[in-house]
Amino acid sequence: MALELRPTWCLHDDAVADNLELSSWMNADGSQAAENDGDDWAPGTRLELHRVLTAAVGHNELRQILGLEPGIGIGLAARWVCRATSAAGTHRGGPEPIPFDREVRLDVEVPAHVADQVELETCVLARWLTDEHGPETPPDNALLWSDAWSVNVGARSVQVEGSETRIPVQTVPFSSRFPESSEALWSVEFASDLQLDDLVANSLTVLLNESVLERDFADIDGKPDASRLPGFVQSAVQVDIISGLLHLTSTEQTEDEANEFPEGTVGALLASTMLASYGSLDSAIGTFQEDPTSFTRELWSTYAPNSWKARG
Amino acid sequence: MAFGADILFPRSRGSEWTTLLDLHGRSLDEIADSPFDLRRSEFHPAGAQRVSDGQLRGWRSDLNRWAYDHAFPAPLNEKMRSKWDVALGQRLLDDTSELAEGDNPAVWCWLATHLLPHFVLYRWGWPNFVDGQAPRGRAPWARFGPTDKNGLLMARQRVLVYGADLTRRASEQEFQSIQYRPAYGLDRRVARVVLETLVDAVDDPDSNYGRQGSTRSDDADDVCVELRVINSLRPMCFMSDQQIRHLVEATIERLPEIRDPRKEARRNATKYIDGQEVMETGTGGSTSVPF
Repeated sequence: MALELRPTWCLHDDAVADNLELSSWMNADGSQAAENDGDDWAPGTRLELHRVLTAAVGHNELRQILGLEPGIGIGLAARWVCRATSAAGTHRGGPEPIPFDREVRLDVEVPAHVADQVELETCVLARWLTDEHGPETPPDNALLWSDAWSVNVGARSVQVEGSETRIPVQTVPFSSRFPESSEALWSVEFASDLQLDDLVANSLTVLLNESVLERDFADIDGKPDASRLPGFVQSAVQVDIISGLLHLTSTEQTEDEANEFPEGTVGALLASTMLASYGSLDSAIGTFQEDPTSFTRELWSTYAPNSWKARG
Repeated sequence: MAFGADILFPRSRGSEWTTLLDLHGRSLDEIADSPFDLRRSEFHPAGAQRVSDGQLRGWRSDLNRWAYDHAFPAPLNEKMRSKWDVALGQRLLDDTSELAEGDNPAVWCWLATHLLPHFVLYRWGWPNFVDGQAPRGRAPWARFGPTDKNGLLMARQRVLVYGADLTRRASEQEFQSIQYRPAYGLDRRVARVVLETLVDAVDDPDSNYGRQGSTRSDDADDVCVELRVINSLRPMCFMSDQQIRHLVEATIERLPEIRDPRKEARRNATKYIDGQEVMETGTGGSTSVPF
């Protein structure tokens, strides 16, 4: 049984849930903030989030249902915390809570200097409307309810940056990037003098051809939209990357050496891919050198999408 | 040299203190120009403009020239440490205030480990030997690490959050009493108002703060602990500056009833240092915190 140390004025989750409907936290573009994976975020990008609170009843009725005495108003508020960058703040228009209404939209603007992830908390607070109060009443700005009491921090957090290794992707006009015009959709650029202990993210860049994207994968405004690329293109890029890395690095590493490469390095990526595809590094290197056709087929199998169909 | 918003800096996740093991014990001059390798440094994948090797070397040269003009590497006493902290924090903030990743501790971990370890060591010294060897593990190397304990980030953060004037007036214990109460200390506006009210109380002869046989350090801790309790019931982040100030002042007024009696016992305990009997006087002032 949980030990209850909250003051008596605090509201029970059921009382709030029965009378106040909270939408999910949403991004400015209308997508669910919980689905953010950090892929589209870059340092310097401000996060704009919002959620809507809809009450089933009006203020006086809600006050009575919640057992708050006359003279106490209800305020709604949100706060955010970014522990990685030691920063926190409140909803737009804060710090003071927003007076209760049948429908209140809480907007949160998280400044551009955050990193990692942001925790969000939605609060219901007591606001004194008069100076006269009984002895047992909550003080002004007292916390009546918080979703942090029942929703764990993971479910209240929005991912800003992904934690996995991410490979830089740039959309560029191939006509100005390369000496000859190109109809290729992508090209992988590898760093010169690639070493196995180099970080993957520093070793290559995936370039997408702007004119092809504009022509075949544009959004409703006609702008290139890489998110519209079908899954098999991503598979092909991955096969391209692994093949390229293998060609450019020594393949004479032993299993023991492969285990020594830190996470995120070219050596670690190649080792994990080879082990997953071929069972052992020795077997993978042997196949790569002696039977490139089988090697490539196995790689395609490893990176095959869930479906080879193009999106409808 | 100030960096623009669109330039990306290298990052470290925290295990790179191991690169300092071989340097442990070397003098400041010896590590003031340590080599580094951007190729093996992690960057955020987005954005095309990464800081170059030459830009970082140029910046370090600028900072080194600036530091030698500020008495570096002469030994620091307590007053000079505080002055150095503010000057370094202001300089780092001036140069990186536009940087999109300027608050990111992973960036400052890389800078403290690879580019500017001499500035961290000047202020905090090498971590103590353990069994005759340089210590291992993150905790002893926290001043180089990817958290708010990073020596460079902390200096910058204090000037950023509190401003140079307030930073000069505050004590180390006051900073830490707020920093270690993240429930309200992470909100920079709240932290600033709390610290400002504490520091103003030092100058108020009628205030309880740091008086009545107590110390400024102990009272800072007791006030900030009490504020944490209050904050859990009445979040200060939803209060105006004036309301926060009143709350802190009211808490200072209640100090006689909320002071931790164990602190008083400690203050009155007789201490022996090098065979000499030492009695702590209980006057105000700041304390330094072990590495």
